[in-house]
Amino acid sequence: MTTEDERYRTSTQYRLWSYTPSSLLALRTSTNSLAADRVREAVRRSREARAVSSTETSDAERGRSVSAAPEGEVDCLTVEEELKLVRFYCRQTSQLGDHLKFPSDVKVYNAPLINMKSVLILFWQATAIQYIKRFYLTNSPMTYHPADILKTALYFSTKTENHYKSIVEFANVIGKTKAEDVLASEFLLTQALRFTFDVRHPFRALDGAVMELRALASGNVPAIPGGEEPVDLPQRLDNRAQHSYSKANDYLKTSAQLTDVYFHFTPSQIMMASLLLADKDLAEWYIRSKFPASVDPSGLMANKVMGVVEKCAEMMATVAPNSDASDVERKEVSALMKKLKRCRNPEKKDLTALQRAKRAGAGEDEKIVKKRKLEREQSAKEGENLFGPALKRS
Amino acid sequence: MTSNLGSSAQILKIHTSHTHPRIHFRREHPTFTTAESHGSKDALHILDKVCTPASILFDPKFTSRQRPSPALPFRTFPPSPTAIRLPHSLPSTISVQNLDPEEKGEDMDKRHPSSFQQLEKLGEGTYATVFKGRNRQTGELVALKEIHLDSEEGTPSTAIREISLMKELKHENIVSLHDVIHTENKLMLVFDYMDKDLKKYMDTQGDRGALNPVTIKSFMHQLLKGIDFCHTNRVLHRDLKPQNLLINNKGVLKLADFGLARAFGIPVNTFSNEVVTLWYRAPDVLLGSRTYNTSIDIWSAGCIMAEMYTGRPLFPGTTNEDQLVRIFRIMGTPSERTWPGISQYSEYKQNFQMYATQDLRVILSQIDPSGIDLLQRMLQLRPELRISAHDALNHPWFSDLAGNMGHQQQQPGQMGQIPVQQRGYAQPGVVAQGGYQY
Repeated sequence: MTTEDERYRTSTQYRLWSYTPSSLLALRTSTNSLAADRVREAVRRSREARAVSSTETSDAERGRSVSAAPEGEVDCLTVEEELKLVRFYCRQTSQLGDHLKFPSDVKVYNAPLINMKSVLILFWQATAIQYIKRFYLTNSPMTYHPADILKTALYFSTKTENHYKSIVEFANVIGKTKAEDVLASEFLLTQALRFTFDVRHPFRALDGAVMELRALASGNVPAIPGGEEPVDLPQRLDNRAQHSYSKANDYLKTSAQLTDVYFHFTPSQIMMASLLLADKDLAEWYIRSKFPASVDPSGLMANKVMGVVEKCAEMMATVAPNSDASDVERKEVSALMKKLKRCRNPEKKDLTALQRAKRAGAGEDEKIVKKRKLEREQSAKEGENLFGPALKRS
Repeated sequence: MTSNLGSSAQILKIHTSHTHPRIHFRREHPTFTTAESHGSKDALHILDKVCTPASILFDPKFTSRQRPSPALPFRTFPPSPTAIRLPHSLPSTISVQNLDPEEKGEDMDKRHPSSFQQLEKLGEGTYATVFKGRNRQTGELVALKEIHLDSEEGTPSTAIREISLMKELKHENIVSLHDVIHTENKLMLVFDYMDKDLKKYMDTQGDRGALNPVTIKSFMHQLLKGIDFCHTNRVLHRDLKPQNLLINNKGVLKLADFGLARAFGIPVNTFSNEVVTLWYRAPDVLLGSRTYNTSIDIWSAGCIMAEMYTGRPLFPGTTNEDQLVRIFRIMGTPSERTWPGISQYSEYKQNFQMYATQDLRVILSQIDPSGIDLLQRMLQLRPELRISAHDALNHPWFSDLAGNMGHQQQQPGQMGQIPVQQRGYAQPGVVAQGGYQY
């Protein structure tokens, strides 16, 4: 039997989307500097183009374009600034998802304990957020505006998380958006995601852990299969387990999504960290109960696991489990948005138009291929006719 | 014998200085009124002094015609709309994406659609066309699944789901996805090339469709290994049928077509009940269950096992109801007594024709007793009683597989030695669906 850890190691989330903090920083740094170079290049080109085209424009327009053109060296976003922006748009993703009301929403069967519809929505939003985070590892907000990518990611995850919505309805519900805008960067997104769309979340692990804790509270259940019943049960275990569930869940829905924990830890480590933040003593007891002396006599394994979970909790605690951004964050972000306006890549602003042009271009390519094929066939035929039709054997 | 299973950009740098007094410029170059603006005047000033054909041709001494923009000589003419909007696109608009960074060593040429020679069409589905292809560089045969992106909803969700799952599922009995090639209006999935599907295999290699027991055992073992891998990775195939099982010339069987598959780690209760080709559809799904689980793939596997022995589908129903009736005719009509809660299903009818359970040994006399026992456990009407893929692989029927591959395993002498009535061994004491009377 393969263990859960062994299976996780075969997942694309582990193979392609797990990093050490230093490798993650290196990747973001190179993405940022590459994007900044391209922005400066593109701005230079657009200034040249404008200089040229302005020779063709009237006097009236001239004055305006003079004042509109940002001059001098472009002040680009830093890695940290990009991260703050992306984080803000990740918050937006989840809030937008919450406010989307679809008239055609199918009735979802409600299991007695869990509201399935809210679970579906949770997965859909969390996956969209992870798509955005993954996308911005190799792309910069200076190149592709997060407001555009947000819509695409949110729609794309309706497809991968079985939360299907009609594109027209989706665009209408979002407002000021056409179906074409949502789909314009779909290809970009799938490419950046390296065609790996499966995101492993910690939500279900939390459901399981709380169920197990409550079972342990009721007694007669071993901590590990075939093991002994745990001794020194924490007081009011059942009550604490229930209480920590909602607290831990808040951490998973917000802090886990907005920090980099998905890039560094496994879903179960993230879950345990959320539990640790909700009720430290409870989580520690729970973890240690899984390593009785018979399994881990020296206590080394338990300490190792605790160490990793604590590190994860530390990272997660850097973002408070509130869905709304703090006033400080809001101020910071609004300044960054102004800065972004001045350092956006002018060539990538209108993704919808870019996509339209690409499609038209691809169509032309195909036409050319077909034309060449026809010409080849034609010349082959002519070649035959030059010497008359093939001789028939009588 | 397993060995014979199959045949098989500028030059002019313009420095902008809009602080330059415009009026001064106007006096100097009265003919350039329309061309003046910030930035371009210096350029024009230089151009005016350089002796080029244009400088002579458009010299105000000789003509009243305006000199065209200096940018033109540096652009392509006529400029294509694409070129204007995409000043720095690649020479080809085809973008190619490598899947795994681990595979970086491989030649990127492989990723280009044209690096595959498209051979004959292998099949056509609702959203894709499958072609046989050949890697121009290595000569390796592949299956090219071309997905059309003309859909209004962007990339079809079926294709996305299939790619998503196939990227996670790497197993010897699951067709492997080598590459995804995405161009602006086409999506191409590159899979292993397999010689034929099980349906074709039975038609061509079988005796009126029926296969020999050794081949069947090998195929069933591989099928269950593939299913077990899916299930342990929390994936339901949902559409197992002979057409979706591919066989290569080495007798290797692989599960394919995960378009309808889905991960069940997420809530499983919103499944559509419009899945699985009717003939291989589990009774609980036919009854309208939307909370089905891994057991639906086991039912399909059971139907496939029987079909390999006879060459004919076991339950070839035409409608949902007809499908149920055909199942009940052989497996017996279930009731609230044999299947508590059955009357709660949306498609359950009080007036189902009551049939007694048939003896599979009689209907499928070709199958050895141990095989019948396994089949019996796979074809349990109640989903919770159906054997798991993992347990099925440990069934005694497979015990002689590894060492005796390639030998005929007909042992008529053992007939009846294994009690066939021990159904649903997962839950002793539960009433089996046979043997009740009204």
